[in-house]
Amino acid sequence: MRDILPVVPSVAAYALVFGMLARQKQLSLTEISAMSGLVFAGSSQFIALGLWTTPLPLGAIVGAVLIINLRYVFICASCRPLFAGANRLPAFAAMFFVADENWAMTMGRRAQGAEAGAMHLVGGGVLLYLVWVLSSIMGDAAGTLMPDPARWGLDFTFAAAFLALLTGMWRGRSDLFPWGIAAVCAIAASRLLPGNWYIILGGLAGSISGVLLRAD
Amino acid sequence: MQIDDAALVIAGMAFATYGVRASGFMLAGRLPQSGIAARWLKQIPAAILVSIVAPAAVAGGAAGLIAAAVTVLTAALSRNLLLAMSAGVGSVWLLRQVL
Repeated sequence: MRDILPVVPSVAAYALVFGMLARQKQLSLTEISAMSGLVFAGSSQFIALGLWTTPLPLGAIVGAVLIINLRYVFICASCRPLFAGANRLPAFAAMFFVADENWAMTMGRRAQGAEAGAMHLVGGGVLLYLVWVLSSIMGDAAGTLMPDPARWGLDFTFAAAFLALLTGMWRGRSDLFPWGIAAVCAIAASRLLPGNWYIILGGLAGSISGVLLRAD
Repeated sequence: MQIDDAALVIAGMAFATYGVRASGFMLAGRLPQSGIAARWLKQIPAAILVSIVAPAAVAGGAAGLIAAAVTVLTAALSRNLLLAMSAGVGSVWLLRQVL
């Protein structure tokens, strides 16, 4: 759980902003805490608020959420080795707590050869979950005093965390080409396609070229 | 009926999100645990992280790119996650004041 602490302030800041925006969109406290507590996926919750009009477009919101979160197919697939030999029920329950940040921390630690397994992933996830839900509620209570995470550079926290983890994952020149392909595809797709298809396309291009080009 | 609609939308969002998470895990369980599929699963974390970070750094303009370089350099030299993150966030904050 200690590993996840560096990203806690910015997760809290985004949840605060989420709670405030949700209040502006006339969501009740019950609805805000239910959304954060049951969905637990930041960017898709912001997208939902963006589409939150009367009457509520059910299909459009659920469809957008599905597309934004499609990356979790690959993220959760890559978690499988952590649960080798584990019981099915707790393993599937654990998937609820897989978010970008705790997944990245666990995978970063493993790449450095540390003993980070399922408990590392879930421990970080549960902590993030509590921060996310409680800060959403606090955002609703805080009302109109809207903080701007970008003003303090907090919007860069996730990029900085992922960059630092990637630095630890670097295994030498053989990574250059697959990572370069992932970066180029993701940048191109982020400009040409809506939503975050770019994460999926870049991730697929990078991982497949990694299989083709790397020996291990 | 506003409240019922909202509950329905939130339930739909929850099912869609958990469904995606669970299906990825389930599909990976059907892949062979060795050979090309296992190698592919191993390549996913870095490829996904690169794909999240690269567009974000480019979209941040000069400040984003310089701060990304500072983060990577600090991480490579110190091997300390918190220090590298602080350097990255601090430099993006500073660069935005200056640039």
